[in-house]
Amino acid sequence: MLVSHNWLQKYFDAKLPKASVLADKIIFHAFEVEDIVEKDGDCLMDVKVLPDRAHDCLCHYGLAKEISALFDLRLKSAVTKGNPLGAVQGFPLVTVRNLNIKIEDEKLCRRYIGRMVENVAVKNSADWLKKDLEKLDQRSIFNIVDLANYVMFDVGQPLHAFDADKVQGGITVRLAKTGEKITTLDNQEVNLDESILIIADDEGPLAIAGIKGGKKAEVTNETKNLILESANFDPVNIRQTAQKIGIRTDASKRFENEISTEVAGYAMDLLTDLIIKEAGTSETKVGEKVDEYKIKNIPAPIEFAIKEFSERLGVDIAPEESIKILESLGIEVEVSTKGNPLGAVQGFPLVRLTPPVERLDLQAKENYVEEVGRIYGYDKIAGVVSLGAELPNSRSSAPKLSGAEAEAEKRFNLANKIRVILKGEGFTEVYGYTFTNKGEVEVANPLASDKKFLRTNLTDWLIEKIKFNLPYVLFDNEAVKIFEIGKVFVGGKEETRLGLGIGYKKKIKGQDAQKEVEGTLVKLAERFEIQSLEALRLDLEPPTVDEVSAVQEFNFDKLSEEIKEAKEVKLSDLINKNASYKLVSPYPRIIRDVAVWVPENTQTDEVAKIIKESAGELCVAGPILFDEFAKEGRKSLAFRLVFQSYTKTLSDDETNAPMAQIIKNLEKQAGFEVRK
Amino acid sequence: MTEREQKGHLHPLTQIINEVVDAFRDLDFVVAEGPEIEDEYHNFDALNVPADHPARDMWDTFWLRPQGGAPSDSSRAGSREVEGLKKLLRTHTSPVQIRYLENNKPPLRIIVPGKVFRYEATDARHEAQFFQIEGLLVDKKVSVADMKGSLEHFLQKIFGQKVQIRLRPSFFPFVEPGFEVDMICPACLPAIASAKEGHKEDEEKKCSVCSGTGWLEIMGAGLVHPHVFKSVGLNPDEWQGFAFGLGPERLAMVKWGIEDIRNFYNGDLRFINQF
Repeated sequence: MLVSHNWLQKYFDAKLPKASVLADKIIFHAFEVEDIVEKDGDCLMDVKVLPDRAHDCLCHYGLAKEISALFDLRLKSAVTKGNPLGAVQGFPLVTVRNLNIKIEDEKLCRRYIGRMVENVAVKNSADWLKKDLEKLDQRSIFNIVDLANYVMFDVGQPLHAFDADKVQGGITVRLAKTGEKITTLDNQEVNLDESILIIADDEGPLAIAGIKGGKKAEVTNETKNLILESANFDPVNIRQTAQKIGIRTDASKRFENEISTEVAGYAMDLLTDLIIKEAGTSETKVGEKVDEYKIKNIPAPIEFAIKEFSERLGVDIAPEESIKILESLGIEVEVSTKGNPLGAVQGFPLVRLTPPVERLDLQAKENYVEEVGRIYGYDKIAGVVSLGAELPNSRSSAPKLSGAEAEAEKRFNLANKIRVILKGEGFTEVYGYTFTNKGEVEVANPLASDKKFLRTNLTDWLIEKIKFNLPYVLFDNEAVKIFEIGKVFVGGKEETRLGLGIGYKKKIKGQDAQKEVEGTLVKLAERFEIQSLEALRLDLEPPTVDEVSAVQEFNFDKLSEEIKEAKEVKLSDLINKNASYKLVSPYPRIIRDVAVWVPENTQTDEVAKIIKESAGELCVAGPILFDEFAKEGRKSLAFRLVFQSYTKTLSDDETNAPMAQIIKNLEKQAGFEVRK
Repeated sequence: MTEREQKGHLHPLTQIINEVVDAFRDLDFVVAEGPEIEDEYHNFDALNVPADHPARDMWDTFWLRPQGGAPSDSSRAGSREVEGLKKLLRTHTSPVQIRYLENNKPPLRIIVPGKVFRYEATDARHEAQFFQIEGLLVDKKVSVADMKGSLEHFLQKIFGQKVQIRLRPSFFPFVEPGFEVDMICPACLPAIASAKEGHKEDEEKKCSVCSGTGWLEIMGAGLVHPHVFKSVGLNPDEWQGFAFGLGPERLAMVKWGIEDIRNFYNGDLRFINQF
């Protein structure tokens, strides 16, 4: 929510610290402040009010109370008397026409205050009002509408005004009838039904309760007489209706987060006061508040031992300090050392806490622990490491887990063990997508039509990824070898699978992906001392994908059942401490080879070193030795190099220069002859 | 350098998950797991996220169609179906808290790595599927200080002993108080050590990991909410605990400077083979 610094200042006699200073404290003691912007001599803070404080903090008054506690600044005295901004409360009331209000369902409408105000001047808003609203990105309409909006941003209560002359008979808060329709203020036609709460007159709907006003009794610049509304609606009904009709407004957002029923009362006073000031004429007559207050929704007091604050936070906070913090938030504190109803230890007094009426979030002890903790300062809590010596899995005694507890540990360790074995066999682990285009379990709200189902196997994706990776392989006799351990959704069950696959670019004699997959499986079986993996192998078509690649998939759950015990795998076997990451270039690479005759006793590494040092920055991989043979006292070494740029597609010419340099530097060596 | 690259590699997420689990095993946590398809009760209601409550908006949910039946009505998130609970893809690993507490007696300490799902468009920072690691400790006396100490231990083990953490107020329905946990940006640690001040304001060389703030938002945590204990039939006056949730992708991105979360799931060996 956007919060204006100037607006906050209205709550205080003392000068407020600047916005950045406010924000620094708000961030560590209340809410995130995402941005601070200067605008028209004001500073606007974008405060991310937490969901549990949407009851009372989606308004300037709420933030002013937080600031009062955080900076030890007193709110103006009128404010502390439950009258934010000191609205005039005793209006000279005169007889106006009668206003009848009827609530049909008091669960859905807990309170409805109506007030008749006659002979007002509807006109453009005063400059201060326009500015205050525009700063919050609210468009100014005219004074009456703007004032209702202003009060909402001030104290959090959505309000509404009807043109009294367009209302036939009394106001009824009721559920709509099927077939009823309403045209909203922004000219949308909404079909109503029996789940939607409306404000109606004797003829039909005037407004969708708590969400949007209707055209019928719209206030226009011809309006003379108003019916003001300040009401409290059931949050669940408002949320369901807003979702159903697809209309979310600043009002519905506040109602669905629930507002204390007390706020409607002072918000009405505030609005009336402002209307008299901003739209009043010598003829203006203000009627009595007609207050149908059915259900009082305010937070209840709670009692517990004051030592709970120190115990739950894990830091010693003197009782006086806790009390001071609570009181700074407007919480009434009564200390009692008498009696011991909650079994508190002697000498630790009980506190009975009564929250301010707006704080519907303050219900349980834990809520108050948070209040004391955050104002006291989480930075003052020092971390404590506690070991679970008495737990069955404690490191300080022999682990004796059992049942499902032991099973999850075993599965975790087993998966790690398989990973380490496969890594040793040259396989790389991949993590695939759960969403796919065919399967048994269908997503009701898929992100895309090809992501409508949950996968039934790992094989499909492994095949796809073998094909994807093959073009990046450097040699025809080099394989892509990948595996995944992950869940699939098949046969009405969720199953963990292990899938592994091998693929080559070409069919070459002596290379057989299928045989190599089989060989890997034999090794796995040996390592786990199981007779045969055959029973666990899934009959998925095709185990052999084509003549150059093969994929196999297993039921990991069954494998785990076969294996009695799997010990923890050492972390050092699982992690690569030296790993570092560089962005993969999106540009194509160029492969170049160099072969050189060298004296037979020359170290291969020395040759590679010369090549590497001559290759320049564009060489991203290699030299990789791929051929070596000896003949007549000399040996031939063939190396492959990869050139690639991060900024462009390389031309052949651009690799010629480094290659020439390599050749030149190799041939400087005695007895070296580059084969051309 | 001349070696033919035929070595296998473990996925960076596997490595990070194991580092996290290892750090918590030091503190006697044990690995637990739970299903990826969850019901509405375990994913939301039992965790103090009632139907038709604005808190539900914190999780964009993939709902599943009942198998072999009529499509479920996802607009009425609140209604339970006659034949059973509405199914969804778990939006977090937190339902494992409930499942574990339903079947095990405290005191207990669990660490739960697992895949989760969110209905959101993918970009460099967002994925519709990602991993989470949940932690839960339940005992007779548990304080914010215990929680802070455990999280410090784990982050220092992964990012180095000099790493500090700080807590900010936050809200997750299943904890109270709830916290956002920040840690000192590991990329900035050397700079912070050498020039305590001035580091922040240096616009020219803004750290790409923390955008120059010196701190990183790394995880959510809090003390277990009494509603959670009540959901599983434990007395909240008798039992206390802390819980936390973190994203291994986020940790990996910070640790290795990875710029795009989609790298983890594209199966590109040019990426994975760097780890």
